[in-house]
Amino acid sequence: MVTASRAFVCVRPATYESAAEGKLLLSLFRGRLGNLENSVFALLSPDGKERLTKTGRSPGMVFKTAAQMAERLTGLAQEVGPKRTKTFRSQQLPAYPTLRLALNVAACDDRPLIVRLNPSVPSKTKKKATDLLIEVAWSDEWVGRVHYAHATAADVRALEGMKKGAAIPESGYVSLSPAPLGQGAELLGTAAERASKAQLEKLLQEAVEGHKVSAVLSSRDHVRAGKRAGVSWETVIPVTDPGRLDKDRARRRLDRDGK
Amino acid sequence: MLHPILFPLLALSSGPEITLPSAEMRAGQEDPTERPPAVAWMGSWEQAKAEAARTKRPIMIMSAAPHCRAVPGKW
Repeated sequence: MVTASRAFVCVRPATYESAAEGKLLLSLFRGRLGNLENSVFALLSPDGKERLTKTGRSPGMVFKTAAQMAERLTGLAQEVGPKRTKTFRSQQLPAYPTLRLALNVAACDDRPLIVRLNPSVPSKTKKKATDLLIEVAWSDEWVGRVHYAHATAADVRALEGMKKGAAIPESGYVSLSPAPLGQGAELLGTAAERASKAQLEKLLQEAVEGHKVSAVLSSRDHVRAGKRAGVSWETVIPVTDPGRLDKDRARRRLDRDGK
Repeated sequence: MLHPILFPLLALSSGPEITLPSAEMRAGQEDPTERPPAVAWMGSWEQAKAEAARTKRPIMIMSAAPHCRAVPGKW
């Protein structure tokens, strides 16, 4: 299935983290209450306008097995994709919109995060350096293995868990190991603005080696640990998944009836 | 039984079968740096739409909420 997915542009928006994306997701799939649910799955034409299969909350609502899904992906790519199907390589860094979100997603996936520092300062050199990271990010060796974000050095220094005086360069790259609750990070490595492709690959390799795979907790234990630590995630738009709504309703009933 | 939200994420991020290496299995691996190949996700719709238009490729979209009962770090 992973091989079949390479013929597609794959996107994983974080649900409830953008009003515009929320609107798009809701237009693709409405849950039983007509609300935006926690997850949405769809296969779309290259212009994003046409649905290629039915949509659902997950691939499991559309395909019976992973093998069936892989077969359909391959068929669709041949039908609507470019005739000479080469593996998709983007010209953009697959970065999450904010450092906060990228860190959280990296924690969810239990993968290190590579941060491109100070991307807001435009220069030819900076573009060339970013292009080099993009090339590495989409290479066969590294595609899909780590996550990416753009941020300033100050943003990285301000992260929870970052040691005081940690050597964060003003520009260049850093690799981070996300804390299990996605709220902080440990610095794993740095690379200079003028890092070569080999040096960037080394940064990624050391990030993968240095990132400690978290002790995997069940959802219940993870939630318990988060509540105990007082950690809470504020979404950009309200969560409207029926699971959450049912819990809110039950809580209100409990408050009202005192039971 | 797999969690209804974890199912698509495990299925799409881990390999050819539905019940594939999850974080639980990775934690027990001798070499945790040996990750199975994964789907190359872009993080935003705008970025994906632009790339799909440029390369004329179809789009696979799989949104997910990076929090469980408001606690981050878990799909």
